[in-house]
Amino acid sequence: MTRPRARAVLGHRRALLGYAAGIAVGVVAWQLIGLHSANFVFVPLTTTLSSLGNLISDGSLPSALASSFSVYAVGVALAIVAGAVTGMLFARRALLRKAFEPYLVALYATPMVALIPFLLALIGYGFWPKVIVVFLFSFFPVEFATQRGAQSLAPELLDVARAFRTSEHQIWRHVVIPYTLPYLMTGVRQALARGLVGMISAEFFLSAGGLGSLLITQSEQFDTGDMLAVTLIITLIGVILMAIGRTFERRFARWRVTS
Amino acid sequence: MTQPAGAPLIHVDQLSKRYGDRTVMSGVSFDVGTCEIVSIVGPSGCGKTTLLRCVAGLTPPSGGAVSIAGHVVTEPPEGVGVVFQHFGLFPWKTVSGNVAYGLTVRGMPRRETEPRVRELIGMVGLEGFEHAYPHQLSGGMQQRAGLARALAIEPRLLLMDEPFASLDAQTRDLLQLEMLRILDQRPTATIFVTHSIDEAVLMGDRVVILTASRALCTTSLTSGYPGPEGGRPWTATGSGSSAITCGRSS
Amino acid sequence: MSATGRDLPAAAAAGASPEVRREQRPSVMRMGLAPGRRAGGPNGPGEASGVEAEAARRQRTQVFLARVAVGLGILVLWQACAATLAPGYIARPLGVLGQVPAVFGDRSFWSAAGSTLLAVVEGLIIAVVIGTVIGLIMGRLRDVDRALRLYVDSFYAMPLVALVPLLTVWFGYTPLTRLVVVVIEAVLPIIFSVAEGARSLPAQFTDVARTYHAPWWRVWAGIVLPASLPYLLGGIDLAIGRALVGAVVAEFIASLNGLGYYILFNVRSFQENRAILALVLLVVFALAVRGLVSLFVRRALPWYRAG
Repeated sequence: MTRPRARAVLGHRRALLGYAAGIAVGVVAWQLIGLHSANFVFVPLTTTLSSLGNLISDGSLPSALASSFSVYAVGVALAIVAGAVTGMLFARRALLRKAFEPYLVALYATPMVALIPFLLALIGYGFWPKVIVVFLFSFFPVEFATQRGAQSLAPELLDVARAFRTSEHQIWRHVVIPYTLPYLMTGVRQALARGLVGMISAEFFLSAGGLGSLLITQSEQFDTGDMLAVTLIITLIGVILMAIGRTFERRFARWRVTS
Repeated sequence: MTQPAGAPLIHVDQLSKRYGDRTVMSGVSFDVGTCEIVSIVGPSGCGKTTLLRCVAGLTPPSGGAVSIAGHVVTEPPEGVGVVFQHFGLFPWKTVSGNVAYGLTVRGMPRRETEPRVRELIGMVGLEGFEHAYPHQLSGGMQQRAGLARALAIEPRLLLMDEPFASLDAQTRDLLQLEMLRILDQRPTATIFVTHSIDEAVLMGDRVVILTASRALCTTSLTSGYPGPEGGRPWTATGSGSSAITCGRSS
Repeated sequence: MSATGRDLPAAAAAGASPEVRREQRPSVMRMGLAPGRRAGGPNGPGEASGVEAEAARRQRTQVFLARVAVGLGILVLWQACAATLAPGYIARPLGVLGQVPAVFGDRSFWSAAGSTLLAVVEGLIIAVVIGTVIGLIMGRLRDVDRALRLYVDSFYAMPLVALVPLLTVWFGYTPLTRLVVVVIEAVLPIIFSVAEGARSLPAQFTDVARTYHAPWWRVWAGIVLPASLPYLLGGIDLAIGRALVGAVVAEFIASLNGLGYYILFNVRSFQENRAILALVLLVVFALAVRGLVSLFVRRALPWYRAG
């Protein structure tokens, strides 16, 4: 092997070793700490995994997943559509945007969790209140990112379009929408993460059903093994959603130099 | 509307533009013939770009008018191709997509635009880069694409706004000669805006000088200035605006 | 060239030239980390002539009036809908105003406010310290980065509020739970941002240090840390929102004295108007802290803004 290539292979091996070491330490630590602490504080990895198996087989986890997923999907989908439309609308009408700006900024900064009690008092428990919470969490990143994107369109490019006699709807089709799409995708990525927080928070307080609700019940019974199992699943879901979000973002940003 | 042969295609008459109490140009008048390249040169802030925008129908003048083949320009007219200083390529479209743009918004289907685009890409020397995005191209290549895009619609008027100003010196020299070569193959009435007198003289058959005195611009026309060595003795023959063709005289 | 905020196709057709005016993005939307754009003509701030300045002033008044109009419109609509359609305990603007003296004179309200805000500030400080250290190490030492990557990415990707029930098992229904939640929520964006900052340190900087034989601690304290500062501040900006969410959720679940619990309690007691005031305070706090960070960036880091 030539020297540079040998170095590359060694570097590659070292990298793998690094990742593997991290995972190994985590697994070992989990197991050891679990074995040496009371059951209601921490359980070993093996027990966690068997709890996971039980939760799946007795149906509580699958039904919670189904409930959570339906709330999440509807809430986030609505938020993406509403956010994209609002964002582009506000970019198009400067006065409208500036008029609403301070209020949107305030809303964006509001911890949406704090609105849950009000919602509960207003419309009670169930599917739609939870969807509304997820919507509130996910809407603003989409709106904000889309708006900022559409606003940043260089006026020169609009001049180019006009110089070639582009009609209004063609400007949207060939210029505004393709340009804004990557920004929208960034907003979508953020919305996917925030929507998940909204979903869990809503499930804590707004119903029986869903992963969050499952966690609450388990915490009241000091069922730490089950809790860790559910938390593991939630983490997995979060990681997958982030990966999906990043993929969308990258795919639509192919033409951007600074993405 | 038929034009008698030899009548100027573009007629700029006492054009002026004001922003608030700031006059950017006033009293600008000149003509451009059907196969002429007219260079417009002047210092910065003199309204050269504004002038071009008025001709392109992008900015309405405060006074005076531009007419193309007898029709006064109020909005972007048909058959005008524009090349921008900062290239103005749509970053989300490939080179092919950008070159085809003028044809696409006219509703021309893909199968018709494709051969034309291919031909133009070949003409400007961008073979192999059909599917590249603008950010993958150098400045010179982007401007070639910009030129191809402007030529794709087979314009009767080409407007070029300091097209080589954003390029390095060597690329600029190269592209100047390329441009002349292309315009030899496809003679088109051209208005070429630049701040460089050398470039104006090189590129143009005639040079229009905008001078600034107290932020007012007037024109002084130097006509009959010969083009680059060997000249470019084009004349217009035929009658009727669509029948005017350009050919070398002996 | 006009920066932002132009109407799209509609105004493009009107042909306003780029030279006329340049708009500034509202400072509250910027972190202050982007290179600042200043108002004025193409040649700089001093250029705005009489007519242009007048037009700009007119536009600013127009925007201000529009904002006031929207605000009043929202309040009026809210009041009308609540008064006619909703039960009496639903919050409404006039009701909120009416409760102002009661709430702001109530010692327990301020104690709740203090409890929450102090927890958030405390948690943020702890998170900054821990997060900066971990972030710097991860940014500069590739091996540590690889080992910890899985955990940092996972925790960042998951909804951390899902940990709150588990934390109540470990730390009980106590303020400690809330503090732990805040720290965990805040530490992750900080680790991320600082690691990125440390990682993208231009090699030139460390090269300079090496040619002058600077000791390792000087490199870290004098180069890596200041260069990562903008990233740290970006991370803090993200952390504030997450910290507040965490604090409120912890208070909800663990019934801790604080603004979150104040909201919950008052809504349940049909005193929604009071709860709204607590919500307002939360929002004001969030905006204030972010504004402070932004101000700090502008004042203390002019070199970054120029870069």
